Amino acid sequence: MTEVIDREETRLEAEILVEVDELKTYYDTGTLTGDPVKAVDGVSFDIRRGETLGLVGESGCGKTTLGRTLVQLESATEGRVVYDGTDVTELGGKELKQWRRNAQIVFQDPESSLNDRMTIGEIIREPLDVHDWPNLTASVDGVSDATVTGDANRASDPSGRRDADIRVTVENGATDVDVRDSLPLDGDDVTVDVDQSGTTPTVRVDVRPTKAQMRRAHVRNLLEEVGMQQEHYFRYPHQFSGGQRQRIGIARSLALEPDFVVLDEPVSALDVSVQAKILNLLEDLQEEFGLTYLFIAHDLAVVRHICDRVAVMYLGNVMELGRTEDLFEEPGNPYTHSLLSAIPEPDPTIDKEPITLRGAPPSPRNPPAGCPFSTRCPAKIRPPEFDHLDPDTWEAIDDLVRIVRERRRAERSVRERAREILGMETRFSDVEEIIVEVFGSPESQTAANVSAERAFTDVLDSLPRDMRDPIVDVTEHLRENDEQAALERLLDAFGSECDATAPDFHEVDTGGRVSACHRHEPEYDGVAETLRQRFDDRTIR
Amino acid sequence: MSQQRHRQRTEAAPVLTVENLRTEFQTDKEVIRAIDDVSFDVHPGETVGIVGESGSGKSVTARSIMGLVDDPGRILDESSIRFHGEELVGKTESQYRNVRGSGMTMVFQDPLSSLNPVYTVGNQIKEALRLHQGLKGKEATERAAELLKAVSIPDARRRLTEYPHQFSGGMRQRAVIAMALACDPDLLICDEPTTALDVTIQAQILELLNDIQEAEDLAIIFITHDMGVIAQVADRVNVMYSGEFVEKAPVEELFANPRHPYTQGLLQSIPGRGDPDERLRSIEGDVPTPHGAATYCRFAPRCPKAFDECESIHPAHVDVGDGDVVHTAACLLYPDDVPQEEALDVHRERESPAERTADGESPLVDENTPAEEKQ
Repeated sequence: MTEVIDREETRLEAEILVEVDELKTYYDTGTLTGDPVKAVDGVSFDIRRGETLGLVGESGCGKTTLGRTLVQLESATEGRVVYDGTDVTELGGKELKQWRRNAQIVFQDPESSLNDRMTIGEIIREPLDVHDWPNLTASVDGVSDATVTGDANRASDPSGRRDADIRVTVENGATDVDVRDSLPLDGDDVTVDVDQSGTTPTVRVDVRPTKAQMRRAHVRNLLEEVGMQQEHYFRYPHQFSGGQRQRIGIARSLALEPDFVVLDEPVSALDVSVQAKILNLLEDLQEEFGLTYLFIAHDLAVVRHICDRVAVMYLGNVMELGRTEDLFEEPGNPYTHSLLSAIPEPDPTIDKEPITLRGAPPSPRNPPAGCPFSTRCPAKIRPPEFDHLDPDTWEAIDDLVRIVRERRRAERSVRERAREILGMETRFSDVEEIIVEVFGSPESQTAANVSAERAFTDVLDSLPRDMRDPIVDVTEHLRENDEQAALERLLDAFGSECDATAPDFHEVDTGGRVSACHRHEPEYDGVAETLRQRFDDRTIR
Repeated sequence: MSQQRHRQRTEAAPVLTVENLRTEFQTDKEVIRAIDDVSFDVHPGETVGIVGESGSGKSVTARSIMGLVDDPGRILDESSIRFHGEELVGKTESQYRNVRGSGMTMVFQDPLSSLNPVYTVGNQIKEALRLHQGLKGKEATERAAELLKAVSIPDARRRLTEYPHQFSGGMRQRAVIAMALACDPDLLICDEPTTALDVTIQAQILELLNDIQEAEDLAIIFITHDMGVIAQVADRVNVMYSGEFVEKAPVEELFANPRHPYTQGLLQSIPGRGDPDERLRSIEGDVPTPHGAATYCRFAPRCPKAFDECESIHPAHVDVGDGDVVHTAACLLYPDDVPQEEALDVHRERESPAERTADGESPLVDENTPAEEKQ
């Protein structure tokens, strides 16, 4: 038993199939459109041969873009994707097309990823037609420098990754022909003639079935492989349920016998019982064909079930990466903590207190300057001089930062600008009210008889003395519609390392798991400890 | 805030009582009995969950209650839906409109399609306020801002002037909930309100619903396919399959002690619960489309425990709970403390009168029937 595990682990350690190096994919990079959308913003990781790497994160975090960039459906802005020793971001034209046989993708939505006007057979056959499958290759042993003619080409590199389709062994004048199992060919479908009369020997390979026949047979085999029936060949997508459509998508992705498959949320659109079947199918196929998966999902339970390692993404960055069980048992990064704590457990007796994140992820067009998660982080480092503030006040400060950030983003309409110039009231003019809303107690807001200015001064007076100056400054800036200055003032007073610099990766366990967070640095308290302190304080209070 | 409330059902009258609800869709080709004999009630302050796969009839149940079933669908005559004791089946559209405005409201799955993209969010909330509460002008704006604040949208005043596309997904769903709260409801029907959202946003919305419920003593019907969400939010759960409730139980009881083979299958197919190296269990086949009244168990073709009689007897709800727990399942395997033949007789007997009853005096055990019915 242990031996088996060891072997598996060495296999996992051994070979890297895909190496992603500082990959960036930006959209809207034109000069006229302003800041680009930083969908993937400097991501590095490896995928080892035969493993399933999970990629999780909220929608909009760039996980789909990353997956699409890996199979070159999007072109990378910067960085490299090294597949089996080749940088595929540099490939183009014929080479790229050739490479695409190795890397395929299964899309999320089985309703929109199949052409309704094509039969199932045509859909699965299309990649075969595009790549002129089967482009048979033959290797010849026993004779040196043989030329291969007829229906096959000579296998380019005998030690190459892909086995030759037909292996011809010439020994003592007799020829032995071996056909690769997954091809829809019998031994007697192939005839081989060896002509040794010339200066170089010639091996002529003839295959009886036509290409079209072979493709059809291959599609039928694929249908069975994914748990459908051969009769489904002539049916149309609308005749199938969501689960069956996803099986068709999987069959199509496997048609060219790839090594690497990107699964982009393959089960998100399916019911839980159907989802279980597709997950089982994916596991079986991986075992049978030795596939390497990049499994993109937002459902952490699914990821935990199927993945060997997991990368957690937030706003275009990988926050934590490590072995699945370790990461789920003992998350390192505050974002992983929050994500795990938000999963509803299918067990009503678990009385867990979720760490509910406030707000939504910021826009990838204007990511925060420091740590990408700093705007929502429940374990954010706070400046020591404000240690005395209670959790509610901190929550209020964080809310205010988010509001200012949000306002900076919101554009003013022409009408609003005109109103502003004319000195009329605009939606941006109610600064005092915001301060009352954020910092005020519930009573101060409901008291209708108090004027706005009065409520504002009351709230200011109720704040700790050292907080008042920055808040007054911020109010001033906001009143002048200078959100940028307001934000800078806020972060200057209440910000920390988290707002200033992007965190580096720190190794957080012996299994090589890495996490990007300033709290892993020795001078700060650890993540788990901080969360326990902050959230326990809260329940006691 | 704790999501795990062990609420006692109040003695107060139920907000909503649904009895023998049957909804059919008649097309030229066939008649589809989308809802068949569904009965349940909802008390103030409690959350009743309805869980099932897609196509099981969860949303049609919600729409039937809201009176939103359009032609060719119709609610059969012997059905009864009573809101605060007032019979809703048979009301005209304008009468129904008053009911919807006066305390019954619904939140749909996709917040983007329940908001109008060409009006500001404030406009849409104010429309709801004008229709349901007769508020206008400044007063309506004030109230709309208050509602947005109530659903934890910061900077509410400015947000009122923005359009739905300027809101994030979670924020949109909050705005929809704010609109639902505009009519000061007693009953909120949530049809997969968090399915389109991320887990962190889902947690925010569930927390918000819980806070609102506690503050307003709101009754909630929560529809979802996610067993995890149901475990967190519901007090009582109805498991729906092919237009019927197959099991009803308090939430702890259902997860600890699932009795119907369908419920067991659903719980087993959730990934990440057991050993990750183990294969996931799944339920073979798909939810069938129900045609007409059932004379057999609709789950039988997919059921691992099916036997011959499942094809010929329609199972009725029988008590499967221990002691006082109100827990019923519609399966021929139960009651399991008597010989099988006797158990089958129980179902045979109950089936025939149930089909005829029109006065709501259903002989089926529903959750109102005391537990001593057993034996």
